[in-house]
Amino acid sequence: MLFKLSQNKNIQKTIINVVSIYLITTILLVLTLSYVYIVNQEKSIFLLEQEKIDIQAKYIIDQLEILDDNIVEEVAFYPRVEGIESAIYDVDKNLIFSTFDEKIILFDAKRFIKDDFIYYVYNIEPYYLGAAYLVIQKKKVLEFNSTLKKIAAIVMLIILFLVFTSFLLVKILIKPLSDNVNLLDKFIKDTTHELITPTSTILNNIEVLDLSTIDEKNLKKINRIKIGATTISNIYKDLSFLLLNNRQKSENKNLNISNILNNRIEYFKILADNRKINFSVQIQDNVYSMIDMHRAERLFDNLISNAIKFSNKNSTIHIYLAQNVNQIVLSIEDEGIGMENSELNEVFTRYKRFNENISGFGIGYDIINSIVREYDMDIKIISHKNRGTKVILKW
Amino acid sequence: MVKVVCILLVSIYLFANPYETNCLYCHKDKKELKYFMAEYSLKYSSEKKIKKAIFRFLKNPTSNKSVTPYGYIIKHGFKEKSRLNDKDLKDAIDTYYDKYNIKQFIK
Repeated sequence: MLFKLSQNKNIQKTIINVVSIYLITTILLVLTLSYVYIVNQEKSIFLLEQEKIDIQAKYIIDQLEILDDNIVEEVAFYPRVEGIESAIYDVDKNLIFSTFDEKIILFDAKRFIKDDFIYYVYNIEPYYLGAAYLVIQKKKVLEFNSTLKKIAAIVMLIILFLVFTSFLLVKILIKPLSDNVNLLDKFIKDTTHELITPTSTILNNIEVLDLSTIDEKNLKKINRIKIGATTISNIYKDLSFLLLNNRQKSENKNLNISNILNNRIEYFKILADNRKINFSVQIQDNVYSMIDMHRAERLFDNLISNAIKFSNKNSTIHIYLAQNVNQIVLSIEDEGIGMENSELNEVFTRYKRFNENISGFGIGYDIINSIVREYDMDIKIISHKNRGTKVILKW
Repeated sequence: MVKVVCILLVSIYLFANPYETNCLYCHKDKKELKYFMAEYSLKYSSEKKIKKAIFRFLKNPTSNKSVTPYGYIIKHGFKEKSRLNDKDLKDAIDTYYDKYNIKQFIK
């Protein structure tokens, strides 16, 4: 279902936008809540830790007082407490004695973190053994790290769950739309399929008619029937290409595209003649390209039929095909109504029609664009309003 | 011979540290010296502040600059103003600090 819908770029874009907005906002909410929880958790763990450290600091300061009282008589053995390291600094923040090796610079902060340790700073008054500051070094609390890991794991699980539910939601939401698209697909497929058999019958029968036995009046009528049938056939081919394009694998062969282009011009001659449009053809013989036959025909047909559709009566369509050393150049130029710059920007949008008076579905340039992208061709459209349009392809 | 001994004694006096020639003359008790340093450390904490406080006291000894207990002053009286020049006095204080600062007694 998603695959079928994803063929429509607009629907695909909408799905991506909706899912992105949903995911981003929800993830932001989850992250904000997690952040608030982490900060509170950190605070409470720190407070709990601080209480323990306060008790240990008081013990050390009491011991320093005792040592200071006896310093005249004996050597002072600095008090060591299990689980923590400590140091004393004088009033000018010069180290007096330390049980840890890390070099730190004392600031006015009561607590600071450096590398893997948290440092707690206490003032000593009076200065027992000359010490004005007691610094206690404690390894970062593991309990907090494990809490952080747990939260990260929960957040990851929530995000995964959100991704899963968002796709589930999108699937549920787009089901009616998908059903309609499928129905429309089926309808177009069935209709075009039902149309092609009688159209082919008409065209085949006209081909085998002995035109020499038919008078001029009836010949004109038969020509009109042929033009109508050719148009229907062309519409069928475009629609079936559009519907099946993504499901049919290209069978690329080294094809003589000069011959294919000449055949397609011949095929469209009857339509051009009807509007008194001439072809000025300059096609180099035996230009070969690795391309799928069906796609080459759709490309040429759409370029030529577009040129015919938008040409003025009694005008000329210039068709040029040549191969240089490494490059094939194809250009088709009409002397028709042309396009504005704003229209040129939207020329590849499917179902976009700029002139309601000219028949069509607005799928010609979309088909051209999909083939151009598939074969990595360079396309340039030069158009001037009321002067005509020139499409140049290079690959 | 007498001349040589006299020259030697004069030289020892001239090149001797002012701390040894001046301070130790009265302060013979090492515990007493350690005690004063402990008192200065308790009150002034850092090397810079301790040296500055001792210098100020020796230049002009008063009870409010003193770190010694009242009983000690009653017993021994107040020290006279130091007659050493500033440089010698500072050298003497440096030597005293190096010998008795509390840091070195903490293990």
